[in-house]
Amino acid sequence: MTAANVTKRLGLMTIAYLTVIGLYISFFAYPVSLATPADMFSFEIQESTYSRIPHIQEAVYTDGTAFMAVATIRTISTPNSAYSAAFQRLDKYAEDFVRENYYIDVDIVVESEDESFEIGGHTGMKFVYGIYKELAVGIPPFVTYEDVRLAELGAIAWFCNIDFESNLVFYVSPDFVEGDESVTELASNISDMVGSIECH
Amino acid sequence: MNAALVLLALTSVPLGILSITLYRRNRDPSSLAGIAGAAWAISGVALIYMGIPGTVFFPGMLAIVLAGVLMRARSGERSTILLVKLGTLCFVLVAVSIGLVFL
Repeated sequence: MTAANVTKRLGLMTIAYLTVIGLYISFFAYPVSLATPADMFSFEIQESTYSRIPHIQEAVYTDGTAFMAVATIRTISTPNSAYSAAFQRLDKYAEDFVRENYYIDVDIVVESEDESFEIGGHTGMKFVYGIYKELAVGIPPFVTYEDVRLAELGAIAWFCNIDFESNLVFYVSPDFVEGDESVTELASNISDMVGSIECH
Repeated sequence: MNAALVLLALTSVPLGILSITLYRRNRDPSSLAGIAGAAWAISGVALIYMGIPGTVFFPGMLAIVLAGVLMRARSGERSTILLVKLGTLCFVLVAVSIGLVFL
C-alpha cells in the first residue's frame, strides 16, 4: 500500500468515525417525550430539563404531603438488571439525602423487588422500600422506642423500546393510618397515578 | 417512529459505507464483517423497536466483530497489531458483559 493510499484510508476513517460520534451526540441530545400519568388529581407539577446530553426531562408532582417524580432519559437499550443494580444502592443514598437536607435520621429498607412489573404496556423493575423512624411510644416513665413505618418509597424503571427512552418513577406515599381517610385517599391517588403512567 | 431512532440507525451507516469502499478497493474479506456489522446494527434498532431485548443484539454484534478480526488474522496481518485488537475486543466483551449484568 502506498503512502498516498494510507493517507486516503486514514482520512476516510477519520471522517467516518467523526460522523458516527456526531450522530451519537445528536441521538443522545434529541429531546425526550416525558412519561406522564393519566390523572394528576390535586397534585401540582414542576417540569424541568435536568440535562441536555443525554437529554433528561423530569417532572415532580407534589401536594405537600406525598410526592412523585418522573424522569425520562434518552438511552440505548437498557436491561432491567441495570435498573436493579442502581435501585440496590438507593436506600443508602436516600438515607444520606434525608439526613443532609432535612436533618432527620431515618432507616430505609428494601421490602420487595419485582423484576416483571407491568407499567404502560412495558415490563419494568419495581422496588418498594419502607421508611422507618425510631419514635418514643408511651407516657414517661413507661416510654419504649419503636421503629415506626412512616411512609413507602417506591422506585420503578423501564426501557421504552418505542422511543428509546428509559423512564424512572419515584414516589413517597404516607402509610395507611387506621381511621384517617385523607391519608388513605392520598395513598390511593399515588397508586393510581403510578399505575396510569404511559411513556408514549 | 421518532427522529431519535433514525439518528441511532444512521450511526452505523458511515462505517458501513467505509467498509463497502474498502472492500471495493482492496477486496479485503475482513471488510465484509464491517458491512455485516453495519447491517446488523441497523437491524438491531428495528428489532429493539419491535420489542426484541437488547441482550439478543449485543452478542450478535460481538460475534461479527470477532469474525472480522479472525478474517484479518487469516489474511496475514501483523501479529502485534492483531494482539492489540484482540485485547481491545476482549476488554469490550468483558465491559459490555459487566455492564449488561451488573452495571
